[in-house]
Amino acid sequence: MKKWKGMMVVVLMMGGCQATHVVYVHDAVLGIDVSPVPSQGTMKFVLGYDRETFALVPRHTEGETNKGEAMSVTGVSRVKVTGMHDVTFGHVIATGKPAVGVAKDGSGLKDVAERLFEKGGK
Amino acid sequence: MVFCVAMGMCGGCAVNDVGLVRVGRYENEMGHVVELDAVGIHLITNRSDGGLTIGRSHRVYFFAKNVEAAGAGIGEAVDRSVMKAVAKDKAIKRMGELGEPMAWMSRSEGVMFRTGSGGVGLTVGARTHAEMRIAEKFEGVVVVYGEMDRPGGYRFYVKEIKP
Repeated sequence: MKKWKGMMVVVLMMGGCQATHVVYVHDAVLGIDVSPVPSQGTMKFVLGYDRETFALVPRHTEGETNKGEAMSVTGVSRVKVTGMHDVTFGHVIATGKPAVGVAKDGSGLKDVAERLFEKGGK
Repeated sequence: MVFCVAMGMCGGCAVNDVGLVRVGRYENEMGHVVELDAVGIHLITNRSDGGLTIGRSHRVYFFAKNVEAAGAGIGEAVDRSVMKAVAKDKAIKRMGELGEPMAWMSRSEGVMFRTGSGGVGLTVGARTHAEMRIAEKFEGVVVVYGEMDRPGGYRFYVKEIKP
């Protein structure tokens, strides 16, 4: 399983903030970066190098039975970064009811991820 | 950094995929990929990755066009995600007509003002960013794969599976 190092297997049934999208982000800065952080009412200042990689999973905002519950997401992701220039961004994501089926069929997800990330889609 | 800004001043101007910018276009039955590489002043006007770069701007956008294409789900996702280069003589939509991208990657050097979905900000130096956004209401399978240094190796699959 070592070759899967760097790969993030996500089976999330957790809450996010008030987001309306499932979001996967990688961001890296070298130099000076200034940006406001509205949720904290502060400014973020970076001098030098900063890198962050994260995912957000929203709560359902509609529906009688699942309002407030976290969205179902199953997926495999690989974000590979070498320096500031070479970035590989890969995701296989299932959401909603398909996420449940994909989660139960672990070998299918593993096969897709292997073909995409290890064999270049062959 | 000074070099990058000087490059920006000496380069050209581009807005999205119009102007002095190298454009690569790829597609399959489910989506478009637009690759942009500009030196100079590059303005991006979409809400997701909006902003202005003075220097070098290299960006890749994944746009969904047919989320209800026939398909069986995740098993076939890799095979059907292959993108093919669009022939140069084919009539194509401009980037501004494709809506908001589902995923994008960018690499910029110089001075960057950003106003996209991640908020406003200013960077002086180098910045790489990659992001994918899937709407809360979407139920289905999405495959996104891209390498910034391997143009043409993009993969995109999006399939909405309704109950």
